[in-house]
Amino acid sequence: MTAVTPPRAARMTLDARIARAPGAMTPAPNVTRLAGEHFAAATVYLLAGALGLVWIAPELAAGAYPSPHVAAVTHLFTLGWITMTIFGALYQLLPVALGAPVRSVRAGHASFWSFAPGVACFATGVAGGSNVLRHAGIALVGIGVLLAVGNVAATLRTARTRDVTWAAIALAITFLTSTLGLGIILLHNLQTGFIAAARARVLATHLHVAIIGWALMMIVGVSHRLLPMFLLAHGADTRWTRRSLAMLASGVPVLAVGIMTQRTLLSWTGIVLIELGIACFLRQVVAFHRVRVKRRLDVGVLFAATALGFLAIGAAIGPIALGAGAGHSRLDTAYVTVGLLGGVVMFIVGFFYKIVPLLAWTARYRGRMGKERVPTVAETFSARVAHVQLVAMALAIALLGAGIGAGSATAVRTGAGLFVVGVALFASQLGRVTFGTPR
Amino acid sequence: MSARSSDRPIVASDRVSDVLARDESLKEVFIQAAPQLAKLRNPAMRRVMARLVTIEQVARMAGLSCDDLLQDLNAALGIGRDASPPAPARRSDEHTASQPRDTAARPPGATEVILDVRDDLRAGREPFSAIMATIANLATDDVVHLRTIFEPLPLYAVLEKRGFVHESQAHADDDWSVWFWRDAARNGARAAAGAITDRFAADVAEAGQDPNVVWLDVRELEPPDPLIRTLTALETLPEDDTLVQVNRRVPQFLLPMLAERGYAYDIEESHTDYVLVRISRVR
Repeated sequence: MTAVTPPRAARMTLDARIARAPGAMTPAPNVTRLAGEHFAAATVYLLAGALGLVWIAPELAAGAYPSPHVAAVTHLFTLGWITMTIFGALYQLLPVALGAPVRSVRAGHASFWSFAPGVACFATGVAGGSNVLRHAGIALVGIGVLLAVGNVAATLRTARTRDVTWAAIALAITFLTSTLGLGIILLHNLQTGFIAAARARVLATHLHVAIIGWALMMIVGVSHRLLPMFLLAHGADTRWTRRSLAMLASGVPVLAVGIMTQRTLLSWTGIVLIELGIACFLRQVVAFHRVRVKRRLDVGVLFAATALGFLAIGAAIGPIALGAGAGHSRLDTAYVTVGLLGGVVMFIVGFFYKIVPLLAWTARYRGRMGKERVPTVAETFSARVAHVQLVAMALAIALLGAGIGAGSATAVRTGAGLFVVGVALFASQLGRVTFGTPR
Repeated sequence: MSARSSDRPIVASDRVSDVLARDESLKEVFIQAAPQLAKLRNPAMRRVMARLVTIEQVARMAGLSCDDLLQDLNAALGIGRDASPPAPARRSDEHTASQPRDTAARPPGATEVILDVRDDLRAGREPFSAIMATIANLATDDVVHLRTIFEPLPLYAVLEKRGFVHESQAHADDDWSVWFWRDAARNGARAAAGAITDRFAADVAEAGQDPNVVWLDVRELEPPDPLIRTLTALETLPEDDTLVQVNRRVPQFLLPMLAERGYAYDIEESHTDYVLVRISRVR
């Protein structure tokens, strides 16, 4: 029993200051279900993306990143896994992180039912060259994104806490909207060719705004709130997050303008700012790690740590790719693969391990908690399988990066196969968490 | 104790912050007496350090006579030499500047948990909660190695109450290593009582007794342990009692469950580093 005798003097002071909890503090009902449907669909898309990697392995090895097949599979990861997961996590975490219940759960469901089929439609249309599917897909995706962005923005307006996490989310959804705009331009160009030679530049801008402006910015902001909770790391110097966000938020538009206007100096300025932003984020994570009370890192945190390693590698390749200029498509492809799959996808897998089992466990045992012995969250999945998955996915990404760099289709296909194994193990773990019987 | 009255002489137990609140220029008296206290010129340092240490402690840190320092300070305030009461007699177990700082030798081969708060102190951030969190979760045989920019004398007393002994070493005037570990001989009974029970009671140092309130500190627990412990504690809570959960944040997952189980709650968020949730049965 952890009960403590009450300090009277302290209590008197507290009584004097006590504030009655406003009703707005209570989380909106059914957000767990809303988050759950996003997480389930995201897992399906992750599996589809992993299988797609095997399919596009020869094109990746050739550095053919502008190919429709590569674009389709990339969107399975960026829209289907990353964006879907972030939306689901935001609905669940906004009340916890910012003290603001989701503005409209109904709008969240509407966004999901537009976005989830939209991604499948869009990816199929891009891969198969079907104009109808592409346009239907982008329309559904667009509606889903705008509904989600509007919902999150309205929630942010009512937030009681306006800290760096709030700022990160606000910036990230702004970049997401920009990504959507650039994506629509690229899609229209597929039909009309109206941007002609500028296509590669728009594509590069679209990629960086999406991966850094949307995904990484969100990761930095949410990590600021969640990593101290996961590591029990309180009292660290948290100014590095602010610095990171400032660098990333200024670096992305500067790089975008540099790429679009072909001004080398601007592009390099943008790259330097982004590199500094990533360095500040890594420094923040180190600061949390140093003051952590929890000494042993669990598998979710290990995934995130591995992802940060890949993020650093991606950040190291970025300037080399920019310096090498056009005509080094394999280098560009390796850069995006390592940064996207290693830095972002893996990181989200790690946070999935921290969040989804906890949500499933809470939903399943909420009526029994405290009254009888219930299984622990850790007992709802296998840590051993999760560690095997971590090794498989880390090796897979290393092989993919090296294989693309070396132009070896065999190595890339092997890496892709290993990635499928890792994702399949992950899906089995999630199935066990949701439907299985704990040990 | 605060130095509230403008004509009351400064005494050894006054905190430096209270003294500086009377007249900020008194920092120059400290610095003149001991140049190593020049860090008091840094507003951030002043904010943290001055609040933590008393005049007596600062005199010991600087190797000064407390009486001399008190006389200098009171003279600067225009309060006569005779008005300054002598510093209390030193206990036999306290350090003096000429004595070695070590009070014990740390156990050989123990795992060290390093906590460096030097940057925090220089930046004016309060390191106490991080230190206490580390201490609270220290494995039985581990040693905390604290790096700080002054000898943390106030911390010695706090941790001594919790059964910790220490060893200190100065690398420079503004660079200290202090090791804390549990005194095995003194801790047998305390260990059984539970570390968490001890933790919040010490944080809220002016402890009193109210038999109808039960405190539950979950600040250093990883989700979902706070949820489980709170619900478990509520199951055995007497009908008319109140459970006060001490948390780092508003426990959003817990709140709807409380409502489902027939409990009312108040949330107090006026503290910077913790939230209090008062839970009682709906009557």
